Amino acid sequence: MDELVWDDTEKLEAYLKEIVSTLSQTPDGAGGVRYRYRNVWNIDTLREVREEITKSFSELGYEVRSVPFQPPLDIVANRYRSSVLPISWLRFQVPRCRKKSSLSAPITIPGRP
Amino acid sequence: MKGDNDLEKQRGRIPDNCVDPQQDSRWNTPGANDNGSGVAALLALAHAFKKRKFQRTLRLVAWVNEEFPFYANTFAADKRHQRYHASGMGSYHHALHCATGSDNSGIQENIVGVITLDTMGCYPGDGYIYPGKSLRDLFMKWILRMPETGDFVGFLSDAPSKTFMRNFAGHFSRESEIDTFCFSAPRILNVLLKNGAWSDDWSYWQFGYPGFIVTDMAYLRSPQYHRNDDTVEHIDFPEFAKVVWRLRESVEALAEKQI
Repeated sequence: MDELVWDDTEKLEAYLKEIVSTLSQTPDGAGGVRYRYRNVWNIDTLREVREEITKSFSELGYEVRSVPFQPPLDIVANRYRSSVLPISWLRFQVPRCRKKSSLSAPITIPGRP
Repeated sequence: MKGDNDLEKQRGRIPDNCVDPQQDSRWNTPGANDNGSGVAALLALAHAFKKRKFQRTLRLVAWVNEEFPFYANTFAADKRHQRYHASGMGSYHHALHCATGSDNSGIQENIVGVITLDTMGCYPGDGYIYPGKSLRDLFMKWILRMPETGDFVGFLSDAPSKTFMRNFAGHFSRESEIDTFCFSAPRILNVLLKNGAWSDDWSYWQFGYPGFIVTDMAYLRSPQYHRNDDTVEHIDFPEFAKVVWRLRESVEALAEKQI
């Protein structure tokens, strides 16, 4: 397909459709599709999609560079003070909540005043 | 959690041009149009340019974290807060990287301009008027004075990027059946709205690089914008392909110093 993408607009159209489909949905294993939500709260999906994009460029012979950086996590956390809690964020937050509650609870040792 | 930008480089002589879409989607949307369409256009351009050598270096870049909560918070009241929120955006990191020199040399990279591909697949045709969903939509329609049709491609920029955008859009629309609409936000709009940008081009403006967005007008046209039915079925692929075809010719002309 690589060489045919730019033969005419119909082939380009088919290629664009294939890419958009791949980015927005994936097989669910039961013959259907599930949608891909690729954002900071679905970081695994975002990473998966990123790897596919990187692979596509590498296969075309491009020099690929990834520039890693650390976004401020409190910006992500603030989003959920007024919204629905997604599973991925809960997973991240629960240990912190536990730690906080254990610190605020008084520590008593049996047999001692 | 880490973010990663992917940069692919078509080597030539400096100065550079960048073509970039974001690769993420809004929370809880499949993001077929926003912004699967932009990434698809980028990959199609990568196919077209894979064996080409241009006079200018062309970078094809896919960003992370253009969507909320990073981008939307760049509407923050002051510059310090804007920068803090933007520091989660992939494009901001790349712009900073270019402004300080890729090799930390402190020498600013000479980038001719940045073309942001964002939300490009909705063309419901002549006679279509999407009423919008909110007062913001009505206000934006009034400000933009956009045509009352649904078949044009939008080129939007800030005031300092006006010449770069107009030259590119002029080439794009020349001998083309695709209608274009250009708008450069006056400085006062940036002051009033805190942020006159729609996408990653904002990041480059912060470092003095010109940039504009190529779009189907996003929330001013598509009822599926930022909704969970932003799926592949709602993209007009025949029209989208025509736009990408023409885009290729204009990017090529830019890379060959014809624009």
